[in-house]
Order: sequence, then C-alpha cells, then structure tokens
Amino acid sequence: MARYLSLRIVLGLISIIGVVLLTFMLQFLLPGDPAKRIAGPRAEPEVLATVRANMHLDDPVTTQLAAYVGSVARGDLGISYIRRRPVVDLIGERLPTTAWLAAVGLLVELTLGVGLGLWDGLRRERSRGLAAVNVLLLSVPTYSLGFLLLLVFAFKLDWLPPGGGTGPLDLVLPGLTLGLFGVPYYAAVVAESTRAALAASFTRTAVAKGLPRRLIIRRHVLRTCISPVITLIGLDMALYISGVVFVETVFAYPGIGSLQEQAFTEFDRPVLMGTVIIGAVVVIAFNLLADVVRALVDPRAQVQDAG
Amino acid sequence: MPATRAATARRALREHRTLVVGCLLLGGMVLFALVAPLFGNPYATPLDGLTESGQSHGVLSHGHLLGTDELGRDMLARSAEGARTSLEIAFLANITSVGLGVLVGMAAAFYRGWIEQLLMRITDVFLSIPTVISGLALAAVIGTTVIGIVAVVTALYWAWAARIVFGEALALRRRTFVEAAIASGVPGRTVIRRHILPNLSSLILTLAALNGAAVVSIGSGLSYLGAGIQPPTPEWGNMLAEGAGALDYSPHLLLVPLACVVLTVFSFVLIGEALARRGALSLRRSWLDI
Repeated sequence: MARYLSLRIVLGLISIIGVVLLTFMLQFLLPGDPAKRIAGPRAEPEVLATVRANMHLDDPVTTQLAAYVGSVARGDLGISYIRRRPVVDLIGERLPTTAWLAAVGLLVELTLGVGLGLWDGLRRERSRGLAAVNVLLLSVPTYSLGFLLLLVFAFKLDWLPPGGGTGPLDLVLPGLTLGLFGVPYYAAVVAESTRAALAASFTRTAVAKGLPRRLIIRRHVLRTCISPVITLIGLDMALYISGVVFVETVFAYPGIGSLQEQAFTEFDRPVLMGTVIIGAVVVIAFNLLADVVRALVDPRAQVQDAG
Repeated sequence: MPATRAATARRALREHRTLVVGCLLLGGMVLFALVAPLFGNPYATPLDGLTESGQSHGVLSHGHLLGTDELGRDMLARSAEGARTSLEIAFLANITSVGLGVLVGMAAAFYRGWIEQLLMRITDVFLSIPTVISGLALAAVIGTTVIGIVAVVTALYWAWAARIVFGEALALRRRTFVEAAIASGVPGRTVIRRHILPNLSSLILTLAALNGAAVVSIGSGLSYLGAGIQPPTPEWGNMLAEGAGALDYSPHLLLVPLACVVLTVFSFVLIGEALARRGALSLRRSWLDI
C-alpha cells in the first residue's frame, strides 16, 4: 500500500510539473506585451524598460522558467495585472464560495445518482424510464441546464433568486445544475456494480444463509458500490470543475470560475494561469484522495494488497 | 423477395430505433446548416425586424418563424448560419481529437516500453487538466478562429480517447492472433493496420459519437464564455451569450440557440448509446431472484 501510494504521489507531482510547464509555455505564446498591460499602452519607453526589468522579462527563457517554477513551488502565482493583488489571495478569497457550490453539487449528484442507480440495479430488468432520463440529462450541457432552470424557477415562477448572491437560496439552482449533470454517470456505475454484486457468489451465500433481503442489500450490495463511486468522484473531477466555471458564469456566482472568466476577458495573464494550476492541483489531489479512501473502505483492495 | 426484404428492414428499423432516430436528427441538423442561405441574410437588419417600440419579435411572428434578435436580425437565418460554424467546429474537432487519441493509444499499447511510458504520462497530464479552465487559457493563446477552437478542443479531448483506446489495444496486443502475426515477422505497422485497427473500429465509432456530444457542448460553451467564434458571426455559443442578457423579457433569444445545441448533442448521445449498447449486453442474473 505504502509503495503504491508513494508511486501515485510521484506521478501526481510529475503531472503538476507538466501543467506548470504548459502554463509557462502558454504565457510565452500569449499575444500582447505584459509590460504594456501593466504600464498602459501609452507608457514612456523608460517606464516600459523599468517594468520589464522588474518583471525579469529580458532574462533568458531558462532563467525565467527557473524563476517561475521556483515561485510556483513556493506558492507564489504572481500578481494580477488588473487588480494589482497576489493571485493566491484572489483565489484564496473565492475558494470557500466555490467549495460550497461544489459540495452542494456533489451532494445532489451522489444522492440522486446512487439512489436511482440502486433502484435500477435491483430491478429484474433495466428501467427504460431511467435510461431515457439519463440520455436526456446527458444531452443537456451544463450551461444549457442552468439557463433552463434559471428561466423556469427564477424568471417564470419567481421562486428562487436569479443569481449574483452567495446566500443559501442562491446555492439551490447552481448546485442543482452542477449536480444533475453528473447524475447519469453515477446512476450507471451504481446500477452496474449492483447487478455485479447481485450475481456474485457472496450474495448467493448470503441468500443461502437465509439473511433478510434488506440486510443483504445494505451489507453486501451497497458496500461494493462504494468503491466505484469513489473512483468516479476522482475521475470526474476534471469535468466537474469545468461545470463549475459554466455554472458560476451562468448564475453570476462570485467564485473561482467567474474569476477565471473575468481574467480571460481582461487578458489578466497571471490570474488565468494561476486558476489553471490550482484547478489541476485540485483534480490531481482528488484522484489521489479517491485512491486512498478506496483502499481504506474496500475490503477487496486490502486483500489484494496482502496477497 | 421484396415482401420479406421489407419485413426484415422493418424489423431492423425497430431494433435500431435509437440509432435511426439519432442519425435522422443529426442528419436534420446538418441539412439545416446546408440550406442556411435559403433563410436569408443572417446579418441583415430589415425595417420590419423590430416592433414599433423597438422590441425584438417573438417566435412565430409574421415573416420571422423564430423571431428576431435585439438588432432585428432574423433568428432562423442566424441559427442556420450558426449551425454551419458550430457543426464545422464539432465535426473537425471530433475527427482530430479521436484521431489523435487513437494514434497515441495504439502506439503506446503496441510498442510498449519507453514509448508507452512517455505517451501515457503525457496523456495523464492532459487528463488532469480541467477542460474549460485550460480551454480559456488556450483560446487566449491560439485565438478564436474556427481552426483555433478546433485546436483547443482537440488539445482538451484527445487524452480521453487515448486512454480508452490504449486499454482496448493492450488487451488485443495479448491475443494470440496478434502475437502470431508479430512472431511470423509481419512489420508492426501492418499488424496495427490489419489486426488491431479493424478490431477497434466499433469502439472507435462509439467513442466518436460520445466524443461528438462532448465536443458540440464544449465548442458552444467556449463561445458562450467569449473564447470562441466572435460576434457578429453567428455561432450557437455566442448567440447564447447574447440571449442570456435578455432572459427575462425575450427568452426566445436564448431558447432558439439552446434548442439547437441540445438537439445536436442529443443526436450524438442517441447514436453513442445505441452503439455502446450493442457492445455490452449484460447476461448476468441476480441471486436475489431465486
């Protein structure tokens, strides 16, 4: 286990280094002169030269790369061109807001996905109704679903706020949008592992022992679903974070996603690249976490490890 | 015999209903894009384009089947012209991302060793990049032309295809007929072309359909965020962005392009589901049923 985990941590670090290298390359390829972005388009040549010197823009690429990797490793993602504040602070301020949204979305996703998947998996035949719902949910991109919910519940029915705030009511529609999008994946995975568990020999033994149906489902069937669901949470994280950006933009929710969208429209290079790096770190961390948690909760993973 | 043939065709149609509906829907969208010039100039702002109070016409108004936008431009003409751009991006990006993924996945699975390590580690890096976030960063660099967006979407989606193809190709690599071909001295490229690729074809087709759905939604999504085709060129994503501001007083500005996106994604999902179901039929039975 320890060996496997350390291997995963090393691979995760390699991925993060890869992402940092990519963002560095992207910064070089970005059109426009950063010095002009900061000093303004009509700045004197001397001012531009000072800005360049301060930002080490005239240094050789290798020196700049070393400085960039060094500062990222120290947790310094640079200073926003527009807001004149450290990128780390800007992201840090908005992290809790986004974390709340992500948590509500995940809750919706898990409750509905696992519930529907279990219901479908326990049936003798696959439910056509659920298959249809799955196909429909898969066909509506996150932002479209957000617009539809916004139109119906905020504008037509006037039940919920149309967005812009961060209160509990403001979380309902964005959380629902984010969660509903992932439901088909979770439902499919849970239904599949439920069917596998029902067909497995340990269920046959449990039935033969005369255990009641509810107990078999809770103790033997549900437990085997936990592991694939945890894997899916980890794997899904890259897509999930994309959903966060769309949902935050549609609902004008002041989180990291809308920060990034603003950074894009304002050509705020450090903020844009900072969010990419933070996003990748979150994805990789969740994948790693999913592996650890799965090893802890799934008895089969431990058996494999011992053998 | 014609009667039997008709009966067979009918039965095939019933069995593949999902596939047929998906193909018809996708074909319909492509046709919609092809006949776009019939619906008039998408940039024209005719005198009757706005109501007397300067509002846009709603759906089913006289002369404008899908209404007009806030400048009085015809929404039908704009969505059809938008279909050209959106579908062009979707088809190109689908081909390039699945193509690149298939090449990388097969090469890694077939040649193994350091090639596998290198290619699959690069794949891992791309898989851990959150799509939209890096899409915005990439679009800032590559630019917002059709080719630029195709490049961005390809960069974001090839790794999924590569992962899936790698797994399947690796399993094929261990099959006896592939080992026999290698042992009898058939060159690697021929083995890939003659033994591995044909056996992957149905997987690649399913992948292309499901990837198509993702590519349509991300392409329009990037445009919606402002990182795609720029107005005034109509594209479903930037039409969504224009309509988002008018959601409470003229929702058709948003609902028309939204319906286009959803119908196209839906058609790809239907095709993908139909193809995927053919491959994976569960024959297991439940012990609880006894």
